[in-house]
Amino acid sequence: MNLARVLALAGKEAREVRRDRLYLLLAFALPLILLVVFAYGMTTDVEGIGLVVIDEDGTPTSRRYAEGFLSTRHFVHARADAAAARGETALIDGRARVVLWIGPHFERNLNAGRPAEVLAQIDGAFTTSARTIHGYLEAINAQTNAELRTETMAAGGARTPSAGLVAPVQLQTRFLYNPELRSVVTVAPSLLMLVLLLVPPLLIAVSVVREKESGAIFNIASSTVTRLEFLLGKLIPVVVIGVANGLLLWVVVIVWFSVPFRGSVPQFALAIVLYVLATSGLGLLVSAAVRTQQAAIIITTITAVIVATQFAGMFAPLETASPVNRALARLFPAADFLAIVRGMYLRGAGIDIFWPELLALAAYAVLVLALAHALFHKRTTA
Amino acid sequence: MPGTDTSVAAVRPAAVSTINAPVVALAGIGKRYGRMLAVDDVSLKVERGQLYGLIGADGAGKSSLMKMVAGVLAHDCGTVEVFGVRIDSERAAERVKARLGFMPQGLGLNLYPELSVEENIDFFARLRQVSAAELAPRKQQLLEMTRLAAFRTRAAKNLSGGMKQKLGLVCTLIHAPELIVLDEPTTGVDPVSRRDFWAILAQLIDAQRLTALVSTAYLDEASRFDRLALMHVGRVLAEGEPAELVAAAGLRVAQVQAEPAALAQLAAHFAQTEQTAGAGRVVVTADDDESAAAAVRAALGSDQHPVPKIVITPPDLEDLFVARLQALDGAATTRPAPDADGRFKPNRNQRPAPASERGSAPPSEYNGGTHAIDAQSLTRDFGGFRAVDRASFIVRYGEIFGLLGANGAGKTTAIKMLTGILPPSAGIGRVAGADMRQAGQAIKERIGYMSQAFSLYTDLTVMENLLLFAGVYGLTREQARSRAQWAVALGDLHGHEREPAGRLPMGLRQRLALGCALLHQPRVLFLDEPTSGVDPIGRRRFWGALRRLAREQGVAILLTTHYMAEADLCDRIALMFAGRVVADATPAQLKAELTAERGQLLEVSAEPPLAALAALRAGGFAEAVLHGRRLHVLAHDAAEAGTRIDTALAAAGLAAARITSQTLTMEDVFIHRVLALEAAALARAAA
Repeated sequence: MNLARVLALAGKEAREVRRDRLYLLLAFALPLILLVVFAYGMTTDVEGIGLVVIDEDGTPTSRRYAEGFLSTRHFVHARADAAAARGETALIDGRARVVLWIGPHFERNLNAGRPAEVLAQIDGAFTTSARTIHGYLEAINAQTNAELRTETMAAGGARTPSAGLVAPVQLQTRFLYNPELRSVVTVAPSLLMLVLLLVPPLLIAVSVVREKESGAIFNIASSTVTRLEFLLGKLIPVVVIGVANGLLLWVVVIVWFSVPFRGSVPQFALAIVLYVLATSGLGLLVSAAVRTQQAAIIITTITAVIVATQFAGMFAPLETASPVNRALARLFPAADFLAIVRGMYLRGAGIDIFWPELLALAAYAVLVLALAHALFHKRTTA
Repeated sequence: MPGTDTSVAAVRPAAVSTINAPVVALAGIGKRYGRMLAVDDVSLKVERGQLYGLIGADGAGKSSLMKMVAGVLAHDCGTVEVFGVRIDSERAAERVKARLGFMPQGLGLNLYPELSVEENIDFFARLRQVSAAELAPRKQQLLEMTRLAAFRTRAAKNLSGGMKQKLGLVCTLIHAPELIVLDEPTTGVDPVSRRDFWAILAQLIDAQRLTALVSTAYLDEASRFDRLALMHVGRVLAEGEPAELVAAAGLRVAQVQAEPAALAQLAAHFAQTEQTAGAGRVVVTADDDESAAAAVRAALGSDQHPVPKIVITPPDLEDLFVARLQALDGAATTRPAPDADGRFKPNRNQRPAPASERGSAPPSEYNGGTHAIDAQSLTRDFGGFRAVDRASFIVRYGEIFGLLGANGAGKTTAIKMLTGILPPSAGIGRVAGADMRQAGQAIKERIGYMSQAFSLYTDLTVMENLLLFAGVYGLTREQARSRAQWAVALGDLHGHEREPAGRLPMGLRQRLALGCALLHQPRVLFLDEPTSGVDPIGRRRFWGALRRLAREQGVAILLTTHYMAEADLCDRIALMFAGRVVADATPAQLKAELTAERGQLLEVSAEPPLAALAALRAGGFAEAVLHGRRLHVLAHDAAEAGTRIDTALAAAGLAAARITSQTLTMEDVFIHRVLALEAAALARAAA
């Protein structure tokens, strides 16, 4: 151990870092980006959650009770079509996360000193959010109860029997799709989105850039092979691998993690194919922009992890994110695919509800592949 | 030389373009990468059927030029026409791609390493939509010509360098193109495989009426081209037929035998001087032999005893190239002009050779008689493969020792064992008196090692690199500074101290790397292919630095090289074959042995060369080889051989040849030795 040598080596590294732009970016810009992105993305606040009220009582008291929830910033009123399925359709297509059912005779029960029953159904597909929502509901309900007690006491005490009750309104909550709130139920299917956002782009970008590095790309560039033929030749094996991966992971999630699949198998398989096409196209875009395998690996990996965890609605529902984050999320196919995973896989929704997302994935795939085709050249300028 | 059967049926479809139009026409083209000017105002034409050479060191602009012709790189200005089609857009480039084949630079890099020989060929054939009916006979023929037929199922990654390049050639030719563009197909390939490659290419061009644009960094390959362009930093320095260029250069070479002191004088007067044992070689600007001799005599002075012996010969292309480079280089290397008194002033950058360089032989022993390197039956196995097989040799202090051999002969493995990077499986390697197996840090500090791969930090400046390596060797700040200055002087790096190493030309980089390997004053220096990719001037300066080190400081130098001209500059040579040392002697001894064994070298000029080659082989010269457009044969009795050659040519209906006697080069020695060993190995395997 010789300190002079250590200093010599350290000094050299410092100089190299200063002169290598990619390295400098990784050293300083990346930590900043990560901090900002994760700080906004990982907040567990829940705001603007869609709430469907099914008020079967329809009295001033029941309306005031519901207003107690909707007047906070945590919930917004989501309109449900008829009360037919008790608002559950709103949960399935993702317009709402909570259905609040106020039973008939709400007001009469309260006035008669009997406990009034209210049922809250919470979407259990987001484990963390579901817990938080549950907490808010309990707190708001407790406050309403306290107010009711105060009011009845002020109105003359013992004359109304309900004054004796500790909790005049009894709120019952149920978590749908994930009754025990096992986080693996939420996380495991979501990881399909992350893994398929990471692996196919990585494979395709590396396979193109490797040929750029070695010079084998000139075999193509100097031949009569067209750009489209080359890109399809790269795309087909990767899409096959990606889809096979997707199906394999799907089986593992069902069998190993025992997360029941509630949707239609061909419809979900179609979603996987479209998603893999779209993400592979992203990989081709990366390969058009970089020259070294290292750069390809770093860019695809970091992009996939950031997008999947922050801009796809993995930990918290996307509608609760800031408008900027929501706009950024639209740049990638991950959010649409995750909505499909949650809807089809966990809630058993079908193509009748998620056709806009499927169409968006298909359009995304076409757009990205067209862009990659436009950016790839056989005769380059450098 | 095997494999020159010329009975190749035409495998190319009928030519379709105009007969007289040039296949490639470049006019005033230029190309910039950011701030770097890669190609600067280049104009040239390649005619149908020509083997056209682009010759230059790394960074000369050859690759850029070839990519533009192949339609895979856009130029900034000027016009590029291929088959009469102006290549000015991606769409235009597509129009010619069916008719051309391009093999990019890099040993086998454009092949698919996991695919077998045949799978690689089939892949290229399918890319080019060659029908099965066309493919089968063409593949068979090309595999036979390149002698790869026996290796159809071998993965490309397991081929030798020479075989990879031959496979690359087959893949480039599989769609029967009219024009092939080959970027440095012979770089990094050993001399035997190189000569083989050129012979195959010559046959293909002849048999299929191909046009070929080929680049090389080896100047000694220049005579193989019908026409060539000498390139340097993006510009064409000279263009034409090799013989014409040499004739029009106005240069003569003077071989001078005189007293060492007088020879030292020459360096002060002529920009190009080389000294070997007791003789000097000088390039003189002169239009005839008489005035060249006069100029040399004037430089030597009139009072020489005994009278110096001066022989004037024509220059070779390297002399011409160096002269043009020096003219470009400006003040640093301009020829000294006579001053008012009519006397020559010494060139300011051309310092007279130091006293110790004047001696002819290397100092035999330094350090009280211990050998610098003593390899005793060094052996190294990799699994079942024996890379080095009982190799023994001795290198003395002050000696430049060359380790030669084809790719895979075991040179690099031997060096790795001697530098302590790889433990030997058996045998002993002593370096500076210590067994490398047990030697610790102390011995590693006594040796310097410059590896094949460029080992400098490209983002750091010259001075920063030097100080870094000094720091790594644990020198104090003061020592580091003085040694760095010494290294700058050794490598002629003055004025470049603040430049990033990545932006230096190859020659300077290699001298910087040499300086870095020497900062801690090692007594023994190992250099693995130190001059690959360096231009001729850079190579000469590098050798100047090596010689100063050996002669003045008594450093023992062991190096490997693929440049046979450099092998001639070594004090001693060990030739390796299949892991064994099969010859160990001075270059002069090796040449004398070959002459005694096989006779002298005769160069036969006969047209057409390929037909003449076939005729000579049929006429009893089984080992005749093609060298450019000329043939080389070895014979004990020149007169008798001359008669036999003429008889053989007449029998084939060819005109009588011009036959000249040539001095043997180390390349001849190397090739004859290796071919004889290969034949012996083959015979053993057959028995």
